[in-house]
Amino acid sequence: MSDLSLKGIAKHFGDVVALEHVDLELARGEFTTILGPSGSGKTTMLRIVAGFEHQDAGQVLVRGKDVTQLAPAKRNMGMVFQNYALFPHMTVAENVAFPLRMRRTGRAEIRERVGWSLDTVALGGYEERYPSQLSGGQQQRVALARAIVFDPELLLLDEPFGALDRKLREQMQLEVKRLQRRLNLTTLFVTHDQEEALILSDSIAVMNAGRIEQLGTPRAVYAEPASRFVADFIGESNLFQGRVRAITNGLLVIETEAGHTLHARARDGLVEGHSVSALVRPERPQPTDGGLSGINDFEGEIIEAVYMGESEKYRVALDGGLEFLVRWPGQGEARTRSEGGRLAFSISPDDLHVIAVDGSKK
Amino acid sequence: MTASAGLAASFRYTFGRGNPNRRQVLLGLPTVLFLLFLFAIPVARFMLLPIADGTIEPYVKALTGELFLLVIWNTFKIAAYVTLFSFLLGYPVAYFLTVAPPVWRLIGFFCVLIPFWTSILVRTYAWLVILGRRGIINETLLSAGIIETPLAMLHSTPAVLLGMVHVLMPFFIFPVYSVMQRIDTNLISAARGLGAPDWRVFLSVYLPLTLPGVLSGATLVFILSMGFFITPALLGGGRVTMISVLIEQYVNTFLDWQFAGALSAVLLAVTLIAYGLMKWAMKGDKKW
Amino acid sequence: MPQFTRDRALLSAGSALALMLLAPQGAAVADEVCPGEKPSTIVANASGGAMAEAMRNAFTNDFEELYGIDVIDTSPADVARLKAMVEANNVEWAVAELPGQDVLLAEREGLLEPIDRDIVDMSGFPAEARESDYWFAKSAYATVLGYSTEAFPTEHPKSWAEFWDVETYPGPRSLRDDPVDNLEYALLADGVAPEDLYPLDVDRAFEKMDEIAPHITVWWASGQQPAQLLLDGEVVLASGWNGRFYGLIQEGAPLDIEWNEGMIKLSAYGVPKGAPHACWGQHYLQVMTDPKRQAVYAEEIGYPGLHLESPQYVSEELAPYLPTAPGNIERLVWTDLEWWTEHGPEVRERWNLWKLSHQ
Ligand SMILES: Nc1ncnc2c1ncn2[C@@H]1O[C@H](COP(=O)(O)OP(=O)(O)OP(=O)(O)O)[C@@H](O)[C@H]1O
Ligand SMILES: [Mg+2]
Repeated sequence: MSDLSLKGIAKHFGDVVALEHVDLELARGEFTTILGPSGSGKTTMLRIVAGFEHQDAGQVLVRGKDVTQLAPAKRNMGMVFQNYALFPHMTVAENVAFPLRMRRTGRAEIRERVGWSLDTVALGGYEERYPSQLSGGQQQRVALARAIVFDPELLLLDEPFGALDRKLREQMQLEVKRLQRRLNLTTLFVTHDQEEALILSDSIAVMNAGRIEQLGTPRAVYAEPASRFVADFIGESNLFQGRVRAITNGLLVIETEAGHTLHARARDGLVEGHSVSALVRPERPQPTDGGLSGINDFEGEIIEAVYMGESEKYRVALDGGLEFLVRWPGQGEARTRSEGGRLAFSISPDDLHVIAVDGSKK
Repeated sequence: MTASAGLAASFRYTFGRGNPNRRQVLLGLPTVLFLLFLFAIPVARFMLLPIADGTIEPYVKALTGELFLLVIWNTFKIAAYVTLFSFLLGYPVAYFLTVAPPVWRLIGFFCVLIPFWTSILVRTYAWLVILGRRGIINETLLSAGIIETPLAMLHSTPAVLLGMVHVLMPFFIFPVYSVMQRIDTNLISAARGLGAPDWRVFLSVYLPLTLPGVLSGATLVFILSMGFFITPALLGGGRVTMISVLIEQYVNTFLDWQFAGALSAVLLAVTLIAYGLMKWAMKGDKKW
Repeated sequence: MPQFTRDRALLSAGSALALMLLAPQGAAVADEVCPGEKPSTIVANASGGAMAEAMRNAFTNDFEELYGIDVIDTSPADVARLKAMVEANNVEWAVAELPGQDVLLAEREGLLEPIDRDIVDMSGFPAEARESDYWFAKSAYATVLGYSTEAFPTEHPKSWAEFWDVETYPGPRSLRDDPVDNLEYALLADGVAPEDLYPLDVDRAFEKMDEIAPHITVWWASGQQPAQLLLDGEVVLASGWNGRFYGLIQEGAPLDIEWNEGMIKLSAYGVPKGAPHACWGQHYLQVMTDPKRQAVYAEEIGYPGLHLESPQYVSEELAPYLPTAPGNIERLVWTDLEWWTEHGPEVRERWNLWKLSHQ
């Protein structure tokens, strides 16, 4: 039985459709991320799960029990808000003790739980501070401590790291992940940062305009995006538009609009004549340095070279007019590749992911 | 450093180039001078009047005379009640204005502001029409056969309280509203999500968060009440004596300005003390 | 002193006459009514309201016509303001009304110029009206018992003893929020004869006041209140100024006046000390001495002028509503303003305290 399941959830605000038939299942201890651009309905979904918002249609089940009619106070979910929502008039200890006090927990136990919880987020000794006397990261940890202190059935996190600087964010990401693992917390996590989603999640639900476009493991949504939107939204990508010309030797022969011919591993359901997008992640192409591999060979002029420390990125104007992005690990010889120079590479048919363009299968 | 040297130094700092906020200080200067000459100096002169003859007798009388202690206590009580009722009635109104959908909010604001824009005299007279022996309420009750003789509602302390609360409530509503409006609704959601029933959300989170607005609204209402004149004079039927009524009497009827000055100083002192106490109460919130 | 004033008035009238007879250049004298340049306007401060209009119709228009000076009417009568202006040496008013006791306060505080008897001819006035060198007795007003004719269509209280009798004459009452007159009423109600009132037995008066206090629902503070309270049915009996009642009675309002045991006082005008156009202020007062003009004023507002000849110019309908009318004046009691000026402050303090204990 799943810890949380959403069945056909729909919600609109006036004319704005915030959610359009959302289904989702979370197993015990699973870390699921809802990933999507701003306004795609992530927060709305979380608020419906927590009970702050009432869905127009559909059901929310927690451990098999329909909680649709249950007030937020009765749902036993720990939530961390986008801006932490710490009570400014209460000390750290009072904030963390709040859910316990609401549950009429005994004094001694409250002290013990609050101590445990603050230790867990490494904030022992900050009990008497007020939220305004804490850094962003510390506030975030207090919010987390407050969300886990009462042993919630579900942990809901709404972009909890949005306001942190990169270093702190990465550190907190790992801490949260570790904590979640250790306590085996079933967690629904919201973010619009795809990198964060890939790092933390057991599974990712990619949202677009109120719908889940793809639900899968980080690997699946990265390597095998189900739609152009997912491909585009997650990671950097090169997309070729084209049409399947033929299928030979288990390879799709795709003719792109720019006039290239691509060979890609065949996929179920694709036949000759289909419109497709062919996706190549920038790190996939192999440099050929003049020698041709005979398949998916490209050459072009470097119009932009960016040194990024651990990697180097090139924007290449392919012969035939298309722009292509390549990213390779930083190397000594890279210095020879500079703007204005030429670059040749080939792509393995296994590294080309072909997505059927909507409507083409009709 | 002597006091005057200290003053001079602070003056030099305030207006000197060393002060990073010098521009702002200079911008505020005309207003400060305006208030100083047209308000502070005349008031100070009026309050020094009692001791102008080298005696502090008027002050002694104002602070020890039975009448004046009674009246000040009375004034204080009325101001406290007005403040309490403004809170009890104004708080829900401020809340309504905060959460109401736009159309209702507009209507609500209108209802609060209309009396605010109306002359205090007109508003007070309106109560005469409503509460009088032949007023709307009595006529209605009489014709409905609920009562046989008109109720004496006017010319009493409750009538004065009613009139004053009516006049002063906007002064409570607006500061509270502006604080309520700025409250992060996520805090309310958070409290509910963490297991708080609605009444706990209100008592533990919402009310404390609105406290700064409540305190400044209450301070305003209290201070304005302390010096109220027209409403107690008209609705009290001379049976509710507030200190301002007494001061007026000493200024206009007895021409005893020395004593009037001493009474005003006492009123100002009581008001300032009340203000200080409220400030002090608010200091508890400074940490957050 | 009255004797002296009268002589001076006669003297001045006589010398004016002599001057007119003697001086062939009489026209030149008339031009030089007052020394210095003639102002285009002067300010007369008074109670305002209905009174301002009556003043204008009876006196002010005439003054303007006579001397070619416009009069600016300001209000209300405000002895505190007068004091402030005199002390600041910045007097705006050429002439000012000083109702009731205010005039004694103003005189005591030295806020007034003496009345120039060479200009203001008060020879036709009764002796009581010519007592002071500093004020001009414009009128007299009585604080009388007003009653609602709706509440008492047949029998109404005819004395303060009956005002106190809440069994026979039930209903809420109103008295002025001031001990003046009220203590007198209390003593009269308690059986003190009018001629034995002063000096007031304050203790006895307050004791008697205790009896009526629970039935006083309104302690009135401004002159228009009593009549309004009677009209609105807020009270059935109220003390009040006769002119204010008269105005509404005239309009057919259901109320009337009981003159018996009313307290009568002079109402005065004065020229503020250091007034910029004091001389013109004196001339304004002179215009007010005319008995015919006083009759016009009385017709409008119900307050009589004090010139002895004035009553003969008053209509028959109005006559019974004037406090000075025969039949009324004998039943009224003169308030001893001197006594009040002396004892006012302490009695008022006691009054306020007493009222607090009855809140
Ligand atoms: N209370 C509301 N009233 C009206 N419209 C709302 C309300 N809440 C959300 N919406 C709308 O619903 C849509 C989804 O909003 P939601 O807050 O769920 O987006 P989100 O994915 O969380 O975005 P972000 O990443 O910016 O937080 C948006 O178009 C938003 O404007
Ligand atoms: Mg959001």
